[in-house]
Amino acid sequence: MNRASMNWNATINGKERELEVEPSRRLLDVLRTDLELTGTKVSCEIGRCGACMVLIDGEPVNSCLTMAYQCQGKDITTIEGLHGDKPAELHPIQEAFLEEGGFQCGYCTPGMIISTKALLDRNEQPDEHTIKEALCGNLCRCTGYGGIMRAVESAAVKCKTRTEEPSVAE
Amino acid sequence: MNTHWSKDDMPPIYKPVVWEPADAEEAVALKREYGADAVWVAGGTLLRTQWEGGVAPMPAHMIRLDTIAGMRSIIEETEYVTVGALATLKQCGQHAALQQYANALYMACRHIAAPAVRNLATLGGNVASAVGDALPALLVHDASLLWVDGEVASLHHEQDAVDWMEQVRMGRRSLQAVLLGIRFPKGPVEAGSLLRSSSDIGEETTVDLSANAVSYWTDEKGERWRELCFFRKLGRREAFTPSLVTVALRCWISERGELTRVRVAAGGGSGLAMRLLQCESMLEGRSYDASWLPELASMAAQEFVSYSDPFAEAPYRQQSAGNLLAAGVWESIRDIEEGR
Repeated sequence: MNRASMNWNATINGKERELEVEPSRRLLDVLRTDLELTGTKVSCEIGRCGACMVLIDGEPVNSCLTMAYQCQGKDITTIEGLHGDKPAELHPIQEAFLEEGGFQCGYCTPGMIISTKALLDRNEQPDEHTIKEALCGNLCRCTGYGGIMRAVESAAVKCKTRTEEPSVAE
Repeated sequence: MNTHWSKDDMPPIYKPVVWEPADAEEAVALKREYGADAVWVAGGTLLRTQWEGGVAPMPAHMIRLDTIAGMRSIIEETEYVTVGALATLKQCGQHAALQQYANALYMACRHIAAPAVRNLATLGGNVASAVGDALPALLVHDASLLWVDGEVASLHHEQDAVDWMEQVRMGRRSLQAVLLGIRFPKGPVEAGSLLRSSSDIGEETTVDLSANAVSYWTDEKGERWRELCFFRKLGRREAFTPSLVTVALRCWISERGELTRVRVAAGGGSGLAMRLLQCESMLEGRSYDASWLPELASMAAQEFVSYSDPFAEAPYRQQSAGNLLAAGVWESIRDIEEGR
């Protein structure tokens, strides 16, 4: 069986999406061009910088390296899919990056935040070594990483606190 | 290079036909039919960098390997652990059987690329590239490669990884062979000798280079041997970097300090990995003494065939390989002496 095009579908930020695409089309292009989700950034395009990081079934993946057929039917989260308790609110990780100065030009920030989300979903209290390992595929040429490290540590505290807080309904 | 082709104006070269073979035989037949216009695709991470970098053109035909059943499995049998070629590097770097029986590979897979890349990249792709960082680890674990090869009458065959590397070196690699899996002999490891339990293998736990599994084996004379096994990678920065040099060593050390079943290999960068047979001969049957480590480093540097590129000269890589090996042995022995 062969395909020159495919009826591609995936759940993107909680919403079912269906497109006719070439199966070898990069997920990066599907997101930015076809779906106009431009929060996912295009930079090195060879999996080195992490600016295009998204979550596929909860795992961080470089969307520049991923072809459409490789994520057919998957659950994909982009930076547009992160928010606080309400859609208009910032996610705690985004808050932490703002408060700690975890960015300057901001171009790498969506990828940094997605990688941080993947890390904190698995490990709510990562140590410094674990943070560095989790973010080693995300490059920043502005900050020197100090603010980013502080932001991730702060985000871990924020996320943990929110998990432990009883909801209003309780 | 940024590309922002819309769906309709992408040039034909960016619209390969993607084939979905049901089995390896069909994948081989497709390759035979389309020849140089077709490539097999496992995780596709290395291929993508080659296409983007202009090292290789995007092919007219892509032959998916992930549609072939069973290619992602890691199966532990009585005498072997067999890793499907499409097992991801992340899978390999978390698997308890590989931690115990192919520890150098287990460690290598935790140090290739970044975590996000390891979610896509496969062991088979790393091996089939012929320059992957996993290869020195395969060589020290006496791994064999399971092929379906259109140039072999029986189609299916198993080949020693050392022999395949030699074929690659001689330019005689089969272009009709699709890698199905990689097989590691378990060797004489005693059951239950893994000290770290599977539950220690956390999802994102970063294992220290010295944090190896520990395996034991008792010979016919009742002497107990402990496995000594490591993988080391030298890159241009601390993490997520292409390697300049990789080395792996596996042997067994008796309570008296004698070494046996020694395997030493080096590779890295875009060079071909190789067993360092002279180093193995030097170490085989010898009792450990830190005083011979400089001799090991020097011999490895002489024996390792490397290359120069804009990042590092061959002599630098050779000397680094020797130093990594000597340091690895010293650190491993130190860990044993300190009860780690």
